[in-house]
Amino acid sequence: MDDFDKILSESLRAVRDEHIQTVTSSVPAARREVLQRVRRRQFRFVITSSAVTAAALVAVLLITQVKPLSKKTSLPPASSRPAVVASYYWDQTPTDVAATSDAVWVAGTSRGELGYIVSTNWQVARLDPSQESFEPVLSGTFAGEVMPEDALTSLWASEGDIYASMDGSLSRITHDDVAASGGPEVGTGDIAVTSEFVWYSSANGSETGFLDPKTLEPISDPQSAGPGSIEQVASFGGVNLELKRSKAPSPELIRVDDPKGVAPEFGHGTPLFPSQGSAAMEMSAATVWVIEEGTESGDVLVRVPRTPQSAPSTEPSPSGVAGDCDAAGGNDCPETPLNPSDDPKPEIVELPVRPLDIALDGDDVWVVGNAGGDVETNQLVHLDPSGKMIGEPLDVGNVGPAAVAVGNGGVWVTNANDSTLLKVDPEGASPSPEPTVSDEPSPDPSPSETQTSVDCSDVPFTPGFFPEGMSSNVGLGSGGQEGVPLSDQAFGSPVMHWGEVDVGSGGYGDVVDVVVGEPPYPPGTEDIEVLGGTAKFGGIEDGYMTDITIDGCRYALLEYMSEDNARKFAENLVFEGDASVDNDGFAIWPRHEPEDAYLYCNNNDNAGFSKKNGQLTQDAADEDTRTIEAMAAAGLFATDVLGWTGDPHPIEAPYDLPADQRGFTLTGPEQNHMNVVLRELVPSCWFVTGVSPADQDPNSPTGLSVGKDNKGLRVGISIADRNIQGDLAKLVMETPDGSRLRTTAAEAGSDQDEAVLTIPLTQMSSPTYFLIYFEDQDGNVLNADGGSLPSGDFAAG
Amino acid sequence: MEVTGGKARVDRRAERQRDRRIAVLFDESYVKLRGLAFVMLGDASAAEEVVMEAFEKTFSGWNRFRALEHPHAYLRQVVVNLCRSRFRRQKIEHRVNALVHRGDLQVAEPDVAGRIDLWAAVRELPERQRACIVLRYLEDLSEIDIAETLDCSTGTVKSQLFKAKAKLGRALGEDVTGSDE
Repeated sequence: MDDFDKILSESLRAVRDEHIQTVTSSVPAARREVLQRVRRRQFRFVITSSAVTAAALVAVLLITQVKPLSKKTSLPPASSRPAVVASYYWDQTPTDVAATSDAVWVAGTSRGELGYIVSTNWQVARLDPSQESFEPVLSGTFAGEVMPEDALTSLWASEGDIYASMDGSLSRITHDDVAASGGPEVGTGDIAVTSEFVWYSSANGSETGFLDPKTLEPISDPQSAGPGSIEQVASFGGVNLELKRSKAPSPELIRVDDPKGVAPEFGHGTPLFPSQGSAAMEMSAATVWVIEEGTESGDVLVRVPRTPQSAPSTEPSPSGVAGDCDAAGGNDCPETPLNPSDDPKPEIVELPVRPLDIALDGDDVWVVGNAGGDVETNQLVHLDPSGKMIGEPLDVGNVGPAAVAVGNGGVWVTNANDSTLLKVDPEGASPSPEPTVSDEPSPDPSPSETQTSVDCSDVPFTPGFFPEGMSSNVGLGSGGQEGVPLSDQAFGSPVMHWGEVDVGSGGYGDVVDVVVGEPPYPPGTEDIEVLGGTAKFGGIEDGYMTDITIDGCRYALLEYMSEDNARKFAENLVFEGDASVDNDGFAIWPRHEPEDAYLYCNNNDNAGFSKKNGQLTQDAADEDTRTIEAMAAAGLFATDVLGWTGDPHPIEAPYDLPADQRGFTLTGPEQNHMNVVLRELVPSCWFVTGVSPADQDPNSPTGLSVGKDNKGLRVGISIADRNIQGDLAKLVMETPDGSRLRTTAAEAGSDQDEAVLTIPLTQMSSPTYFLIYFEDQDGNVLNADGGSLPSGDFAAG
Repeated sequence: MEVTGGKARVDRRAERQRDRRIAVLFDESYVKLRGLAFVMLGDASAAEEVVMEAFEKTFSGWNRFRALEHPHAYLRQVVVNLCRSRFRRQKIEHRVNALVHRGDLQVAEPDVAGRIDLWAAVRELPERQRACIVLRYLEDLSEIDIAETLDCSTGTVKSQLFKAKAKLGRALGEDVTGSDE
């Protein structure tokens, strides 16, 4: 027996060793792919989460309509919600951004082996929006390898010029050229630029000095910073502030009245909060903002009101129009000192993100940061001078180093991980004309031009049924919004996530996103037929991209799947609302075709609609009546399908519901809960189009697979073991004759995770629906999913 | 007048540490796990997919994963579970989705006759028995560790190993269990 064990062990090891010899060379590429997938996956999760957050607010609004006694909650007006209106891909890793009135600039490093991680070269480039490209202006090589978060490449804008600190040396860049280079031998840390001087702190904060803003020649000898080190400097309206850490752990804000001639008076500053460092400081007329790192609360944004706080703003607005107050304080500057004797009170601003960078917009401030917890993405937050958040946070790419700047008609955000520069419109308007790079001021658009602008924010197409061999299910993925038709998914422009697509490839990356506007990758070269026209198709970094233009609007379909499937997916797109094609993969019960719904409702005497001249017409029903109708249908679903007693309550969660939909929470016999969304497919006739757990976990795709037997005997659903949540997976299927079959399809911890519910194919000549939900041992619903089985005459198969 | 003011280096220690640790863990584990998955599945492409999926799922929950005491053991457990899932899913797909070439698994042919027989016999074992055999004789895990990996009792592991070896013995025409059966 021992010999057999030995033979067995040697045999298996020989097989393994032979195989891994072929694997070793692919490790770096595989490592890179894993990192990319991890980041993309996290990005998808956060998109869902943010959509859910927004949807929850809408749901609250919905509830208030149903319950007049409820306190009304309203969303900020659409016009005040910022939106990403353009996205530019840079082949470098951007680490900072600055905007002047006539251009937008980025600084960055070369792409390292692991994406953004390690770089050897740096570059400063100017965005050329007309060419959708970046024009390099300045470049060089680091002394060693660096991380982008080492921030050895930073930009500042002043009076139309750009000041770039690259690996410790300073350059002034005009629109077209590098006008001056130099800087202190000690290297630069933070700088502040006025019309009179460039005030710098040395790389280690131990020295400070002044340069001519035009020539970058020294205008005073460097002087010691005294005890401690200077971490940040800022200059505004003749007031100069330094953030200095002389008594750890708290840095102090110190006003320096005459920075060029007199050393600051040490020890009379305003102490902030104990921390390990600081990342940024900005000063407006009303407020000083500081990002402190490593406080007890983590990285925080600190607000220090200046006195008086009612001082008018003199900073440039996003339009790039500067005020009259110059930084040296010579022109009409309000008297807004931050003085130790004024005893300003620093306070920590509550943020939904961990702050990374800030930029002033008048007295407001824009903060870019990482969303917390497992949801790792970057978000942009807009604050008023009091620190109150304006609007909702906006997703601005995957987690990683980021920077923000205001000017040239927008808010600009870089994302090192995604290698993107995003333009954000603070007003949330539809895509605006690209920023001009001309020296001439842009003429205001005439009213007629404004009226004829095209709104490309709605994606006018959806996935159709897949051809033979491919599943019809779309969505149900980790980032999808379960139960909501694709056309109604409420993800923010420009990326619309279509969720995961089960195309039967057995792969793991069947993900589709739609980018509205400029594609994030160079278009492919192959022409394929899409939606009756021609689209460009080609490979991208880790998938395929179909570049489609429809009615003057451009869309990029990012398809992370095999080439064959990506091609088929694109070729089978259908226009939204095309009645000849079943493009709603979500409706689950009992019908999702209007005509079927009509028949069902009519047969069940359950509708208050009528059919005139072959057209369904809507009876006059107010919102409350429609909600009651939907609630009744939800109750029917609870009793007929789930076997629950059912007691629908208006949903308090995660759907951004259009006017023709209603959401309810159902309560089961064990006080378990499930959310359902119903849609009014025909007037006053409501149908369940989505189900989900009451506290939906977007990280838990159910991942069903649907198939049929080649002998035409049965259709089944198998559930992969890893997708079973809790203890039981229950399955309900409905046949076209209206009968329903139920089973416990899978039980975790046993080998019974592959049960198949069968239906005679003689009943399967039209779509049939299924619902699956997972329960724990107490009967709580953990997740739920549904869909239609592939259409077609199965009996003929 | 443009915006002026402070802006300085941003130390994103957490992200840097995370990515570097992921890279290190990946390099330490990838080749071994590919070998394990290949022996389990008998298909190089499937093995690659399974291992990549394991890394993606595991590292996506980084905040949970980084707190683990034995990350390599955890990764191995994920790979084994995914292999078992894939095996079962294959079985279902073969049956339900009418794959006419049922059982015609694409397998690289080893070049040693004895290895062919033994490995082929291992791959014919039910998935749990196969997992027990591979973890015991390829990964050198104890029965306790196998039980932990497969989330079952040690008694189950013992019985599965016994049955597996009996089947392997029958396939090879030997009695390898030491029993009289």
